[in-house]
Amino acid sequence: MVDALISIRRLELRAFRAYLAPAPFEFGQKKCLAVLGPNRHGKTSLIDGLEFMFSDDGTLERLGNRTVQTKAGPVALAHNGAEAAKVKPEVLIELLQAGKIAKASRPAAGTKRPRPDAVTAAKVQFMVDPIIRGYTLRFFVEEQTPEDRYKAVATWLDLSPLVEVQKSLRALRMAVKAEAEDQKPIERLNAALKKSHR
Amino acid sequence: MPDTEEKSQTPDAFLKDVAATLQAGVGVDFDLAKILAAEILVSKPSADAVNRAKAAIIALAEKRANPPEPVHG
Repeated sequence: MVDALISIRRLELRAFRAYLAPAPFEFGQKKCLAVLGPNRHGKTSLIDGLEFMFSDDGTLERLGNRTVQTKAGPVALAHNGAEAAKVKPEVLIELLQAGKIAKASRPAAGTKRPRPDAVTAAKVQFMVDPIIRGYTLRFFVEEQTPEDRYKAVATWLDLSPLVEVQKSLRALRMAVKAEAEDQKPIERLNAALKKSHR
Repeated sequence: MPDTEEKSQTPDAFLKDVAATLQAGVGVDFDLAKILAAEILVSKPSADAVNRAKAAIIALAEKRANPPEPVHG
């Protein structure tokens, strides 16, 4: 057995993106989850919370590391009303692995927004980036060949050895079939029999 | 799924299970299953695994086609 799978039990956003008041999200009850809701009701902020928590630089890809013309920078992580409401912008997470729950939080304001060790330890076990963006998905579906997609999925799921087994079985089947259908030994035998009857 | 965890299995362990299940299966050609288990159903097969498996299958077929003469006492 390899490491037990990690699951995210809970995520809480505090003064983070669209959420000023603490917004807890429980993930422990269902295996699959879809987030549905009208526009501007915080669906993206939830995904932002996940991206931020696991990010290397404590920011979001679309915000960037500093405020420039095209990117708002990490200051945009905090809710606009955080300071006035005196709520510390942060994201909290609970991870479950091998029966143990690890709780951690990451500050979403200030120059240092260190990633908690438990989250870093979880991230190194990811085989696939937990956030798959629309353009990545479009490339995956529209640009790649079915073979490339199959190979990529097998690699993500650590199934490459099984794909090799599948290939070997196919090659073996063809080789044995060709051997069984090879008429040359029968022709040689027939020729030998004819000679011996002369 | 209230806080339940799934256990993952390495491809190697999975293939060993497949090989063991195959060899223990009713109506399965045990000798053939043994060849597959040894050459193909492994996570790191040799470069010529397919050729080796083919040769072993042909040798098995030849052995079965030419059973040893019964000894009359």
